[in-house]
Amino acid sequence: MLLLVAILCRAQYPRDVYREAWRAWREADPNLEREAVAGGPPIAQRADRMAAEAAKYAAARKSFLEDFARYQAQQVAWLENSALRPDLPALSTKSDTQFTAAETTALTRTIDTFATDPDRGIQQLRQALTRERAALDALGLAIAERRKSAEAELAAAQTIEQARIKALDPIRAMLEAAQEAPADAAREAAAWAEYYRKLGEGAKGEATPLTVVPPGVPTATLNSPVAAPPTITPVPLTRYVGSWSWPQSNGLYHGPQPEFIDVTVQEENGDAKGTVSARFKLPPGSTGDPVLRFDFSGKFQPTRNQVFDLVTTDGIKGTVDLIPGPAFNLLEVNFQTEPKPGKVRQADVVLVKK
Amino acid sequence: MTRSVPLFLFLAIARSAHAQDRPVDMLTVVRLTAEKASAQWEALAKGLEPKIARLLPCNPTSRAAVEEVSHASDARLAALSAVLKWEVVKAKGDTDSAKRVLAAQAALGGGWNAEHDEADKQRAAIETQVADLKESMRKRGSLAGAEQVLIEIATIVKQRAAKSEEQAGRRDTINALIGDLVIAYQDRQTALEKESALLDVEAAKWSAYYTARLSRAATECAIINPDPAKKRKP
Repeated sequence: MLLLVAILCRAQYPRDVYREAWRAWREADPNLEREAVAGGPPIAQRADRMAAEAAKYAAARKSFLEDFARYQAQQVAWLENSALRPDLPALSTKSDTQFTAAETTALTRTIDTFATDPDRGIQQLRQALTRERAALDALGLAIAERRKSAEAELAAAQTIEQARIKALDPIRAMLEAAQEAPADAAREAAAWAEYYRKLGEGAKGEATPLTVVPPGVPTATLNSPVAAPPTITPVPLTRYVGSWSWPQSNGLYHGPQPEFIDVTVQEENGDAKGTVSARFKLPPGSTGDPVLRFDFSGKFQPTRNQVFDLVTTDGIKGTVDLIPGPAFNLLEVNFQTEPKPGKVRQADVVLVKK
Repeated sequence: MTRSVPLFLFLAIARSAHAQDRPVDMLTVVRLTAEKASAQWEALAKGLEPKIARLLPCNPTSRAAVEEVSHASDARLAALSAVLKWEVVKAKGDTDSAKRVLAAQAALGGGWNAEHDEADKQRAAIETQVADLKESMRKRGSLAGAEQVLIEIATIVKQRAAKSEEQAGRRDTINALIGDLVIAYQDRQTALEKESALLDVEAAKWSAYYTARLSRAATECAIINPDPAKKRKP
């Protein structure tokens, strides 16, 4: 029985279809991102194909989530509509008990009245009355037995009602989440479509690394030929530590265009601490805040790119990547924060060491 | 004879209900019938003694009045028996439905677990994509826009994982509550089955009581008029 129920439940919302679509999508072109560096129309075409696979998965997934929510709604509907009817008054043993009690009292009174009467006919009547009272006694016992079962039924009905109402809260919350899931999946699907579109567009663009040396920036030269002390980072810490700023001209950026950016990075016992102060050029008519200030900190890692947690002066959290540039005096700073209306939440800039 | 009445009534209703497949509607019908039959018996039973008090014991009206109450009692008990038998049918259905909901909720809770696991795996896959894309961005900065969207997708999937985990966390609570519900439905079904069987026993006792009541009426008549046949002879 339970196996059958399990099979029925599974049949209500099979996952196989969307899982197969997911597998097909992920296996269609697993190297696309890695090979996107090659750029050009072939990458854009590959991105288009992936977008089509992603759309197939999204459709299958949406269908599954709708079934999932529908199936859950059925369970909630049953719980909501399964309130028990009140007991039938006619099934109450109260009036029956009253009846047998009244009749027994009347019979006993008559039996007692005739107790000493020697008349043969009266004695016959007394015997008939006694038999009737015995029948009433037996009936009274049967009514009392039924009352016990009726009380047990009533107690169970009250427990049912309490458990039903108690279960409705969490089960409704679960249903709400299930009903929101298709819309969430649709937003996710739209984001994937956007991603492949941008990937295709990006691949068509000219190959210009963010960390190219901007024209006019002098090449840094080492003042001291002494070997640098060993550090935990694969490149010297001086590639990160120091004061960095936005060049006056030909600066490289992605995202909002900076007006100025000042970054200070300090190191102490392998820990990084830094501050960023920036102002961006916002689109005309924008009412957003062009100024952004944040502090960041964390441990230096044995990797070229360092990632630290940041907190803005408004308390918004995010991460910042410090990426040493191709020249000694260049540092790429790439940050993202939690979204907050009117605030700059992402930028990628190449700074010059002061 | 009296036992065949409720059985016949029950079978007739059962056939009708099966044909319509609407036991709840049939329960409404039998409940109304039982209320009516109970009211009729109660009125007759209360009026019996005042009615026959002014009649001579051998007056045929007196015996007919007792028989009328006895028949009304049979009809009432037959109707009440039908109600309880339908209540048992419905209670059994409720128990089965509660068991199905329990199984379904267990499966749905497992479904949220699966959602959470899948979201976690998908996030890991997306993070690999992000890392690959970042590498490509080193030489092709124009991919930065795509990278940002991919990071946003990773966030969406992370939120999905958290939501699924939250729902999966409700599973034990819901299972326990629906489990209690199933037990209560089973208890109610058992109590109703017992009540139904006891009502049938009670019906036999009511029948025995009215037989005794009729026997008393016959005795009262016999005392006053020992041999009516002899009395009619000249």
